[in-house]
Amino acid sequence: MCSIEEEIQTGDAETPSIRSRRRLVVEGLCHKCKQSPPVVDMKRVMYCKTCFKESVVYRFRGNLMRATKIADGAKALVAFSGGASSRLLLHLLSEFHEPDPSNLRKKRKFSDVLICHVDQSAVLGGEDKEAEVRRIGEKSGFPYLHIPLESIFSNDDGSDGGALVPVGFDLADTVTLKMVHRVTSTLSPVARLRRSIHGLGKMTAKEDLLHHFTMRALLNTARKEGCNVLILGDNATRMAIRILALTSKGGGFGLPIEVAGDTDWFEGLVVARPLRDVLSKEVAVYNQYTDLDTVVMPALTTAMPAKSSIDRMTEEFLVGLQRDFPMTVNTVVRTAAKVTSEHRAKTVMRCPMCGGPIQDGTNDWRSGHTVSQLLSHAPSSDTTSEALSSTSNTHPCSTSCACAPTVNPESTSTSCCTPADQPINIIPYLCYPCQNICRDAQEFGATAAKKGIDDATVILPAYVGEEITMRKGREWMKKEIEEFLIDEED
Amino acid sequence: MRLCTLCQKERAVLKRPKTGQQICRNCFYAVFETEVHNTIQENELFKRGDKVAIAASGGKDSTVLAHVMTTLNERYGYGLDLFLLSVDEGITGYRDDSLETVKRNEQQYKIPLKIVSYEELYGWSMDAIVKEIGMKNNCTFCGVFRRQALDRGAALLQVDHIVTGHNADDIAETVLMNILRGDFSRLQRCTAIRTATNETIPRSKPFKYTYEKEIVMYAYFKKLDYFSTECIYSPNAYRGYARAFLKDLESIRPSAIMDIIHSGEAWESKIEVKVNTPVDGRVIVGSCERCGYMSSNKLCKACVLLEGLNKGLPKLAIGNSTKYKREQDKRDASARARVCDPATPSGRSPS
Ligand SMILES: [Zn+2]
Ligand SMILES: [Zn+2]
Ligand SMILES: [Zn+2]
Ligand SMILES: [Zn+2]
Repeated sequence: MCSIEEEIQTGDAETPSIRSRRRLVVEGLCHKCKQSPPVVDMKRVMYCKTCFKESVVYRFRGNLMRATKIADGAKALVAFSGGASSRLLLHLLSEFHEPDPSNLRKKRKFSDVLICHVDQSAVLGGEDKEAEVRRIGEKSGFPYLHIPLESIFSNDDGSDGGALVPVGFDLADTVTLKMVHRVTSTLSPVARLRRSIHGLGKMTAKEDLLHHFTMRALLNTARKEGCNVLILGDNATRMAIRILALTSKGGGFGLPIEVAGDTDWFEGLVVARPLRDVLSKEVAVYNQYTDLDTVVMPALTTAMPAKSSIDRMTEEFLVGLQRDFPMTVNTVVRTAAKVTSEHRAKTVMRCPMCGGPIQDGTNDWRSGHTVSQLLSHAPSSDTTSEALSSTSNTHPCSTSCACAPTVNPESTSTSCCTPADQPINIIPYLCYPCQNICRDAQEFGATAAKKGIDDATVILPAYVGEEITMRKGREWMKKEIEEFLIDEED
Repeated sequence: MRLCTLCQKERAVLKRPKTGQQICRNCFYAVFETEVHNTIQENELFKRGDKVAIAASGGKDSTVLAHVMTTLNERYGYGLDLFLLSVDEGITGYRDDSLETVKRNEQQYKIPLKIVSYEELYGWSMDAIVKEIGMKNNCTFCGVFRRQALDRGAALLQVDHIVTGHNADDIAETVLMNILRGDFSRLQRCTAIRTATNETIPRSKPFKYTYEKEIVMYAYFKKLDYFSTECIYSPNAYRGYARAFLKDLESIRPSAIMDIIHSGEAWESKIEVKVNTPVDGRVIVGSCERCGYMSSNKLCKACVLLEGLNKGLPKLAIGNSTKYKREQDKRDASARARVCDPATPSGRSPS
């Protein structure tokens, strides 16, 4: 037996007799076909090579066929990083896309399949590996698109979108990140991307933003190419890690979108994850049996200790638990799949940074339960705590300022609120987990500013600012005409 | 000298575990107390004139809770009638000292104290139970008996509400634990500030958003006298993993505990568990045939356990679904020897 197979064995002391009592199995033979000797032991089920591969293909196809949100004949974009999971995805999709030789008139699920590789080398390095990724991608026969991640700093038409840059930092003020839109920038898109990620300071925030940027690049490409489906290679192990990590970062509200086998949350697109119930070890075994070559790309936390980020630590924790209790990953994914939230409610806005849902009342929840600012400077346990704000404290300025939750009409000409190129505290407009990213950036920026460094702080793509400005504009308009609007119930 | 980030006047004496902000002592008291006050107000936990029992064990959570409840009741004029309620499980050498602490609390905060003992309520002390069934599974007894003991004691005192010292760490840990063990129905309920079960008396957790470390800090600076020992029984399996993981998360990002609670709240079941509502003239939640305690079955959980105990067959009463049994046993065996904190009156499972 090869080393991977060794690893997959659950290694529990279960005797063969107990095993055969639990299932109708034939001792010493594959549990499924009962003909060939078993070589793969997966979750206490012994498979021969053929049956194991069949079971993976079965799950993959089943997930795609069950994905009712995907219309027949849809045009698909497949995300391909070069890694094991997306390599398997590519392989299974090209088999899936083959015309059925026994029924040549049978319609295929997808009309077209495109491969999209988002090139993260500007941040992660590994430029030398791009050619290999392209070679594998093109070998599949599908058209191959190479999208540099820094393209998110350009407008849709490819012109320079400028960037959102910070306006001063305050060590004492952790809830404000004031930024302004600069139409032109002397920095190249690559330099902007690097500063954007590295200006966050903390690894957890860096990984999150890199993920959002990559997703944005994929969604943009899919829309531009007229695709209806974006297919991701997330496997069960990856999903379980993401579920725990997202929960730990306060992203529970958007979790149902992240775990769905297929979701139409993203406007005009369905995002599908057909490998969501295939374990990462199963991916490795399958790839080995099928001689699928993969490219190992560097990650942000490559060669870093487990505690360097929440994602990295969660991975370490979950993979360790899975080793001892082989049902862990399945349990976590299955439980998360049952979770519901109000993210489909009408009032729910989309986050300008990640595109995820923003839970109503997020800012009040935070300021009420983590009081981190004082309105008056005379607090004391023995006197009164009325001096402390209890709600809506995330907007330190008056209502006539850009930081105000809604824009005061008078302010449009006189204050800093509009037009677009005025500073905005972006934090109150973001979803809860993205607020955490900005808080890390704020802290890092404030520390750097204190040391006199100002060319290392975070910058963001222009779309974040545009979407905030648009929202502020709509809120202002709504406020202006509010009394003239007729309620549906009236 | 480093100035307090909040008031910019006093010297900063501590780094706040929840935010990492360096603040002075008075600002710490102010934010700590205000957060608890906000929690009480926002959830409308009490009505003026309510009789509220503070579940008191003499441990840090309940001692600080008694202090803060008294302080806020006076400061904001909640108009609450506060009581201390303690349970004596009958564990030799364990409660003796902690009950002394509770008695001192009674003096300090001038609120009446009621102690109920297991022996008095069930005819069995915890020591006697352990002698009968051994160390394994006693957590089931501890949990069920403690839970009921508080209710029964509260009923004696005729209180309207019980508050317990469960803190943010407990709740975040429970969220993680329920994901890991796949307990979806508990996952939907475990972040609720008010316990919605078939109990007669509502229970809530005013420290829901309060970090354990800040509770210790508060007690330390206020020089509050609490009894600190670890329960000598009941290592809980899954919780050990969740707890270790949570500690690591907190060290990476201090807000992680709040962030997990925020996630959990987004999944809360919107369906309230109705208590004692007649459907077609029939009350769904009945009472125990033997003791009259609220129960949806013929016998309440305590009486089922007692029946087994009195027959010498306690294991039958502990419903461990066979599906999880094997993994559970494995986890038990390999879980690090973790012990539960006596400070939290109803055991460490705010589920
Ligand atoms: Zn076979
Ligand atoms: Zn977001
Ligand atoms: Zn201060
Ligand atoms: Zn009973």
